[in-house]
Amino acid sequence: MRLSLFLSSAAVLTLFAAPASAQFTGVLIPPPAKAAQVVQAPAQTGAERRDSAVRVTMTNMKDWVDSAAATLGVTPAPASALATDSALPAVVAPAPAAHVEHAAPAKATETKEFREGAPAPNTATVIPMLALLGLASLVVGLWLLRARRA
Amino acid sequence: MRRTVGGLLAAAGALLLLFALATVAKAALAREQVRSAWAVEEARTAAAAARAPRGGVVRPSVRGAPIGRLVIPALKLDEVIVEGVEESQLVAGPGHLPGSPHPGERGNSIISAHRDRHFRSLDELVVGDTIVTQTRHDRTVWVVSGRRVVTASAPVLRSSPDVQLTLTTCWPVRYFGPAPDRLIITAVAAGRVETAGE
Repeated sequence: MRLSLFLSSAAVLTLFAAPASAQFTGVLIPPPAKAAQVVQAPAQTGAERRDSAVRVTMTNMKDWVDSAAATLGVTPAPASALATDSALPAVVAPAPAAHVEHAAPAKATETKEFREGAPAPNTATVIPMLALLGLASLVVGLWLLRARRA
Repeated sequence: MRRTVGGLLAAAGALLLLFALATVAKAALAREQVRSAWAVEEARTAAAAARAPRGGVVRPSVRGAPIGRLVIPALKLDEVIVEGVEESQLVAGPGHLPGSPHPGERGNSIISAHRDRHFRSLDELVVGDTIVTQTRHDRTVWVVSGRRVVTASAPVLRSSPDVQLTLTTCWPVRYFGPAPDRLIITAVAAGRVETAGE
């Protein structure tokens, strides 16, 4: 008896679930925020374009593109295909090593000379730890020897 | 058995302590040697300064040779800077990173030292403190402009179009074992006096 009641309830809920959901969602008022977002989008794009323009003028894009091409193994374009307003010579020079270092920073122990983007030189030292270990070992050892005598 | 363990521990401890003391003594000896070498270099430079090249060119120096002097009044620090940042150079004094400009020249000059030796009190340096460097050609007064802590592998070394000084050491300063981070102090030039030809 209970099983049939349960099954019938489940069937009713299953059959009328979609209309019930439609009724409930129909009551809700959609938020009017989407229109404001659409209006703001062009303004943000404009700001990003201004930032990008500043960055282009501050960095040497020619070297950056050349180094990226060298890293990826892409053959640079022939001299005739280069833009005519380029201030650099037509022959594309190999990428400087400093640009390659950006992709994979060296370990701290490897910084013995200046490289762009390298980590700080390794100044870590184990002398304080060795001194402390030595002192502790000496004290414990002497204590064991003294305890034996006592 | 207990006596054997005690004897071994005491012997090992004594050896470790002796090694640490010998390292410190060796560093002190190297420091005195490089200070003497800098005094000689200063005298020699004063005689030949008028002919020396200058003007933002990075001059190759012999590793381990003194290249200048670093004075931080707030820390009562007065050390001779040596060329190179390897262990054999850092025992003698703060090391100038080869490839970076000398202090006072255009660019970012980088000096590193151990936190348990020459830069043991570098963490007390605050923004606004004064640093003085003297090289063969000029004396530069710096003002600390920033300090930050980064991980050991963080890419912090950058060139600069301006005259800049960067001091690095391990962080935390009081730490047993290889410290995991680095303390980076940056300073900008506040004044520069050319001493060449004096």
